[in-house]
Amino acid sequence: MQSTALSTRSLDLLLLLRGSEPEGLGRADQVSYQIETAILMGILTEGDRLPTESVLAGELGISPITLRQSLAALRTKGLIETSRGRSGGSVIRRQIELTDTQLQHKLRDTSTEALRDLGDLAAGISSMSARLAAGRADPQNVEHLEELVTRHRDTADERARRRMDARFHVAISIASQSSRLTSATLQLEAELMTLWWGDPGQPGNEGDLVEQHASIVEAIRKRDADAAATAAEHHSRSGTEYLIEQHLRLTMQAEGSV
Amino acid sequence: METVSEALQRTVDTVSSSISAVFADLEEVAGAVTAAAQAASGVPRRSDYLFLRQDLANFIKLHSDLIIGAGIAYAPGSLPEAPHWLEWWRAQPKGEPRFVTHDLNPDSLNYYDYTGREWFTLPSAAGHPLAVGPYVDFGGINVSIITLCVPAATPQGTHILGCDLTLANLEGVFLRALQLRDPAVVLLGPNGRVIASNNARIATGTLLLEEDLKRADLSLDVSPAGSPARLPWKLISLKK
Repeated sequence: MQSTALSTRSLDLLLLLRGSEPEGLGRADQVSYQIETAILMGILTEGDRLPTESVLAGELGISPITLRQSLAALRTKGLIETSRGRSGGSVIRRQIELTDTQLQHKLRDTSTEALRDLGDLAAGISSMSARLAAGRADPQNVEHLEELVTRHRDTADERARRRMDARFHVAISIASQSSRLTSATLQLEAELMTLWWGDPGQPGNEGDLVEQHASIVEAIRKRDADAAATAAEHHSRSGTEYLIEQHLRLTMQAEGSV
Repeated sequence: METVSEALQRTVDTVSSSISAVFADLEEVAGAVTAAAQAASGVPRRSDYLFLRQDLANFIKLHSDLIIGAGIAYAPGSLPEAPHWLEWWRAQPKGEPRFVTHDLNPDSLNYYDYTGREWFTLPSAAGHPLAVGPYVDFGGINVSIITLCVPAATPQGTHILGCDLTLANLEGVFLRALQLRDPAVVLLGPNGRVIASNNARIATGTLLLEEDLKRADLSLDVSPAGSPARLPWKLISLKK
């Protein structure tokens, strides 16, 4: 089984995802959810080896028994594989791919009000992250952001590009040096990841997205906090508007198909 | 080819008749409250209204496609047991509706003083059924809702029967009836707040901007025939 040990950074992001899970889950289900979300977002990718059970349980603040329950659930879903022995441990086996239909139903069943509310929070978090990043990002952070903009632009696969988009936003919050903003961004991006962003038949707004990303990074590079915040807010708002637009269309279409 | 005006009329009819059906059943419950107050010997106690639990549970289940909860707020000072009393139930995904607790302690930070809330004061003053909102019910259910209210007059004061309509449910009714992306059409509440729209820029829960209102083209009242005051909403189409 080919595998590489999980980087400290990925583990940190995984831990920051805590709190994104729906209410009412037991601790073991919460942790499975946390790990699934990390896989969905591409924080954990195929071949990543999780730390040993005792280390991971310690990091997550749960007992090894609870962790074993979480891992068993993930194994049943075929998301991880566990081997015994000295070089053993749990390895991520596959990427979660929600189907178009799943994503579309979720978007259709999420009301405009809920989307607007999510968008309001997203605009708040992303504009503040960009504002702080403009004052705090070091040249390395900026370089990383520029690289993510390029990689996002050049990724052909729609889902992979969506994950790259989420990584870009998480990277801005990391550059803001605020762990709470990073945690909020992660949870928000995880939620956005479960909605439908594709629109076959229409060329879409990918060009706009790339330009908006570039202008956020440009403002951060110039250390222009106001411009960075404005650009990030504009970007976030147009994303929300796009989602509501698709939601309205799917809801009206539902009439004919039901 | 259907005209915009026909689509608007159909939407008004659909929204209005959906809401009227809910109002009609809630008025029946209110009638039972008035009758119980008259039948009681002396000042009615809480126990005289025990039937409400089942009546409202049936009502909530019957209209679960639109409403998420219902209840009664007693006129202040009308019950011998407590100065204020509120009984509300919330629909559950499965099974019977669940009782919702509100903090009725005036010294508490979360004090839910229903006697000051619009959904209580407006229908009490009007004396007829009324849709109140949209508003965010903090301390109540914390999402944006519209409350359909029906006053029940008794010798001890006017109690208010109410049920909560989520904007999410209403949006579905609106969009499926409208079937129109262009022009922009807005379902507007009496407080200038957008209840639903077919335009992503004019989102549910925001105030309709002055500049958008200036573009108003056709405007229809949503009120059901014969009772214009209970549903003070307008359906407006906007020019480009």
